[in-house]
Amino acid sequence: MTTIETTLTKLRERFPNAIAAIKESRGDTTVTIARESLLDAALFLRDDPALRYELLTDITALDWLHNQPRFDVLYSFRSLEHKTRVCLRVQLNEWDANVPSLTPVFPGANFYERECYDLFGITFTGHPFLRRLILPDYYQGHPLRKDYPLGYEPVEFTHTYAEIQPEKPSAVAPPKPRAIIGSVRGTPVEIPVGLPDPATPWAASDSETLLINMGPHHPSTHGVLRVALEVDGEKIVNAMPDIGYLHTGIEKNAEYKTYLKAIPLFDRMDYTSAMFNDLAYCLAVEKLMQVDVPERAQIARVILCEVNRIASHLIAVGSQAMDIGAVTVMTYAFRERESVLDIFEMVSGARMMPSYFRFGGLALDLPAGFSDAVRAFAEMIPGRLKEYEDLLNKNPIWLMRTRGIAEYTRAQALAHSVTGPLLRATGVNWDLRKVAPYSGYEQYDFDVPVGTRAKADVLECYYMRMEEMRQSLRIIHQGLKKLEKTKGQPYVTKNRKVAPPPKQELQTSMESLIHHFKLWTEGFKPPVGDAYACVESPRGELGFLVSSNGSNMPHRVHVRAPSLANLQMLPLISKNHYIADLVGIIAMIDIVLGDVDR
Amino acid sequence: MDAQIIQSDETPAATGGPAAKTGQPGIVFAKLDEIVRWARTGSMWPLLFGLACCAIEMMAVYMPRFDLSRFGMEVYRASPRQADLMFVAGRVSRKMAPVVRQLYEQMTDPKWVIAMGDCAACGGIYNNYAILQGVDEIIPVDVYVAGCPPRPEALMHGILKLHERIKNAEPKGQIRIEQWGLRG
Repeated sequence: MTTIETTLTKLRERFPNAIAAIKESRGDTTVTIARESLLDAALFLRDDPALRYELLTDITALDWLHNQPRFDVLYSFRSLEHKTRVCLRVQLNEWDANVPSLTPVFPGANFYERECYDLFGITFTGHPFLRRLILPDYYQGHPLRKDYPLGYEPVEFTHTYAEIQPEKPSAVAPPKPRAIIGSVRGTPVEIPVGLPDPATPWAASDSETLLINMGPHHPSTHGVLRVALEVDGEKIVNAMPDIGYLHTGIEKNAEYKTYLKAIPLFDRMDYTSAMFNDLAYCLAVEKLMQVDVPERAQIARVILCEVNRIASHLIAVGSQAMDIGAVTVMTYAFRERESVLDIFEMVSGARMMPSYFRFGGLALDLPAGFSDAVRAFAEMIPGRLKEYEDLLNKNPIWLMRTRGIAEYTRAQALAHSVTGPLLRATGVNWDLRKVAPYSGYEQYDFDVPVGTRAKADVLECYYMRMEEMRQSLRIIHQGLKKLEKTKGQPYVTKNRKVAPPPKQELQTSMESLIHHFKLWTEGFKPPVGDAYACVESPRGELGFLVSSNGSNMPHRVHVRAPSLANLQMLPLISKNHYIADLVGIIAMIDIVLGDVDR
Repeated sequence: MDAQIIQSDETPAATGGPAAKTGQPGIVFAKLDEIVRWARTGSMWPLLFGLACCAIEMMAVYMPRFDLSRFGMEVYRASPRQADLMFVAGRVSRKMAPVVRQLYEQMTDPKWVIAMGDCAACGGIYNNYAILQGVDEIIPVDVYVAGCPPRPEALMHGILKLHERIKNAEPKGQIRIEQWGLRG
């Protein structure tokens, strides 16, 4: 078994001069490495038989304005075999902000590097199509840099159109020819939208392919995803995703809020699994602050997350079935989802965006009748799952349109940094609830469904999701039993630095009053440093990197979004399939555009 | 609608027509304009178009529990050329704004817009470089529905308000054309 220590020893042996520093804090290991050795170190980590860090989970950057070196570029690697995670850090000066690109050897680095280029202006030399990923081509500046303003607009609460001056400068950027970059038969080209330009390769006389545009307004792209399709008749030659139509600037906005006030921002990121966003963010801040979470809160978190997982998978399965033509499943799935929303409403008052988790526990104690409502829900679901399976599992149309569609192997999934059900469908037993348990998942007895075929396809991913819902029910039943034993116990930490004191204490204790005042006026100030926490969301590894500079607002919050990584596989898996199957493939990836674009 | 029904004294003739079917011969007097407006509320075709979180809630509205077809509103059209109502369901990013505007312009007149949720109304909690501070910066909005996201009941209330508005006033887009000579 290779531990993190042996990894570090091996790295030191292999790169004695390139490693500048090794930092271990709060369970995360960061190795600062010279830019010249980055590519070699990444390959060494991946290919060394004793290390096998095959999964490049994340690339991001930090901006330390007024310091030199100004930028940190962070690369996270995971070893599936040894269940370890190591982070490589490259420091860059402002005048020389470029690093060698990992995309030629790790296809999964593609979107991350383009995102870093887009939002930080860091150049990745050797990247095949280094263009803006999220923001439009004509955008000026790199918004996640510290010297870029938030772009705050003073609020004008006008609700009548006549009050808006017609002279007001248009909010819409001047129309520019929108083009995306892609490859046609392996050659990188710029693809204009609309009629193909005679000068571009696909209109060449030897080419029979046609370019069509799908989205961003399309009922089956699950949001505002745009895909430029190069088609040969009805068959897809290349599908090039163009994202950013729902870019919300959540990461930038979080830098201007106190830690607590940022929770609602993240709720609305992956909007079908809001609980997971809250949980991952809370875990990261708790890790940063070293806050304990009482048992009752942990159990409640597990139960609510698993309930949310069921709701999210219901939407995934239901909308996938609808895209393929089985509309009934969608209607049924939304009927069951309403029961989940009732539970959320019961605990938090909001149907979709609960913002229920707080640092160190929960916002409120669980209401009376919570256990009964969850139990009734958990008893109702198995019969309903059976109903869906009766509708789908032997339906010849469903089987023909899912089996053998979008086949991919384990190696392809790992190379594209895919996590979640999509990775497990290829036979990789990788679930963060098992390999890096959080919130007490190690105390629950459940199985991780893993694909049994050599190649995963749309149908296999559907089976994974159905089975995961059943396993979630097992966890919920166990959680309810545990919850009974913790009745009357605290639901939030007693650490007054992060959680406000109960109301009755305010009238008797001066100290409590001070804590309360400090918390609600300026918030708390975590120690300098950064913490990474991740959860197994319905889509894969959802991670939050929270970096603190000692003030009451985060220096940077980076989200490792599972949908973004999973979407990278779209061009690969949709090749040579029919256009009609593309909607099923997008539904299989189960992207949530709020998660992709942030 | 001010409609006036005049009863006829003559016995229903066996000549066919509506009198023979109902047994109650009568003439309905109303302003054509009002009849048209009333008829428009009966079967609006919204554009099947979602942006963010609110879109999921908008889907929930026409799913079994809330059942939007009670108001004759369930036929969502994927093509803007067949739709006369747009729900702006979610936050509009600056990259998406030209697309929203184009969709609105592709819809056939008369057309209405409901800004669903706080983000579509005023940017919501996201006041930053990426998000349009209210979709009314680019298209005229008839009804704003508050909430983040609005509950399905709130959206239905907004739709009923829109029905009232259709009966009593011109679409905002129409007013804009008349006042300023602006299109869209």
